[in-house]
Amino acid sequence: MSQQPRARKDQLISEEVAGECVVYDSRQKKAHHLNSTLTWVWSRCDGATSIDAMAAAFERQFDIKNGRDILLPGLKQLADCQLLENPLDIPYTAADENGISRRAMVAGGSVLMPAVISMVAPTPAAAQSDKKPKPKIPPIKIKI
Amino acid sequence: MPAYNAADTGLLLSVCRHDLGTAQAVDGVSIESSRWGGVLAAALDHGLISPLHSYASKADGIPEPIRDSIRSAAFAQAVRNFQLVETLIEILRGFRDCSIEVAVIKGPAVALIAYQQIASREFTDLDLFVRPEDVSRARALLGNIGFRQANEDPQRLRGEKDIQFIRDSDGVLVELHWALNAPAMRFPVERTGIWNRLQTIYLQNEPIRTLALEDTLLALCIHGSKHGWTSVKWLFDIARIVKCKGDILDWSALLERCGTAGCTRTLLVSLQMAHILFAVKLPDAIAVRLNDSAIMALVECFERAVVEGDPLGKADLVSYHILIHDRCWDRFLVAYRYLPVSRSIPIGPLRYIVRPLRLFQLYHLNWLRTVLVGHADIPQKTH
Repeated sequence: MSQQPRARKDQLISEEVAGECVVYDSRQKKAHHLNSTLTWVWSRCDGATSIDAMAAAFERQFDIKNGRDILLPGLKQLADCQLLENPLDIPYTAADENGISRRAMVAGGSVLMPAVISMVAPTPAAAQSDKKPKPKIPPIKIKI
Repeated sequence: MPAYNAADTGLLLSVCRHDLGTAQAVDGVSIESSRWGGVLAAALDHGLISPLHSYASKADGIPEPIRDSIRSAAFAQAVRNFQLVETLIEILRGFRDCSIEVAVIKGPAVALIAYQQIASREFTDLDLFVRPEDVSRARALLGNIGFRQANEDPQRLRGEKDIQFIRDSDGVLVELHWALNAPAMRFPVERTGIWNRLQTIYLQNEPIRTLALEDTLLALCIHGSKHGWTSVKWLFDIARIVKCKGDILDWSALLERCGTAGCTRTLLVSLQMAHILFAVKLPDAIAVRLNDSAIMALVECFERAVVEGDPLGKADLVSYHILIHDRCWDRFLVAYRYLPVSRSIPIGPLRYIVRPLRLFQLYHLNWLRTVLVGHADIPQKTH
């Protein structure tokens, strides 16, 4: 496939944490947690590397065959989360409704399966509401 | 949430030491699986989920549900930090448009300086530092972008160092500082020329101003001391800066500034705590100054409080706030401010000396300061 996926950068904040990528999409107010395989895929979406070249690199990196069967569902998941700039034309057979095909499961086993957890990000206040408040040391005040 | 004990805190500290590269990895398999719940609770309480997550992603022996909880907590922290950073960038653009000089302090700045990552250091609010004369304009600007003042009594800013703002639409809390410490703390680090030493760092490709490396370290030491080190993440920040930036840090300049501001003891106690808990090597310039029984006594008292998870009582904390000062005069003034003068607490005729002094300080000293140095410590009210 000659398509060259490009990772979206605009209105995204992302960092890699322990080999997995956390992405906050301020346009959609959504957060995505990419597993290590999908992090690898997303980091290769530079707009210059074709899907075929990416599949070959994937096979070399993880020492597997049929890397394309894992790569395509991964790219579909990225596209569904709007983490790619250009729309991709991915064959339906490569990824079923859940994004993962049976062929992909056979190719990579469960460890290499690309996966993303997406959620509507709570506001910072709501996100920390379950935290126990820290005991506050009263500031020194002038008493009269 | 299960409670945690001193052993759990100890295990968390070992994990942090491994993350920092100052100790061997903890053998997860040899640790009882039931212990990890307590370690997770300790990490959440002390804002240290990031090193635990880094360890848990590679280690064996951690039960899967606990590992998932650690992962979720690290993910939630990263998302919360990213949201705050998004708001911070919006606020900083507003400051730039209004030509108000502003520095980002604490949370996001420490994350970038000490961790080189936003996601890895817990923060729950945004701290901005402006010059005292810019406070009114900064206040108006924050009001224009949806923030309202959150202090209980907005008029009572005398003796304070910041105003808190909250935005109801997303709950973001902003602290607008015009000093790094309340005047009552008696650590006038701003007078050492902090504004002339600001550095530029990049936050999502946006240049932001923050304190110089030495000033950041000093601010962390003073902040942690003020709060009695109730959160171990403050010491971990210090340990990370010493470990990762110790080579480029100008220790002699830092000690000179501490001498000017009277906070050498604060610096030494904090660094020694970071050394004991996280095994970071301190530079010789610092190590030679640690042969002081007064400093070691303060360190011992805090080490016990942190490791045993038993924060200092109010009396101990007051005594610490007094003893942490270098100069006798500062110690005396801090002690004087702690003196109770309420009628319910009998201090006898001493009240008739203390009370007029405090009244003078409250109503006349600031006026005097305005005349002498050109501005008061209190920002003007916005109408």
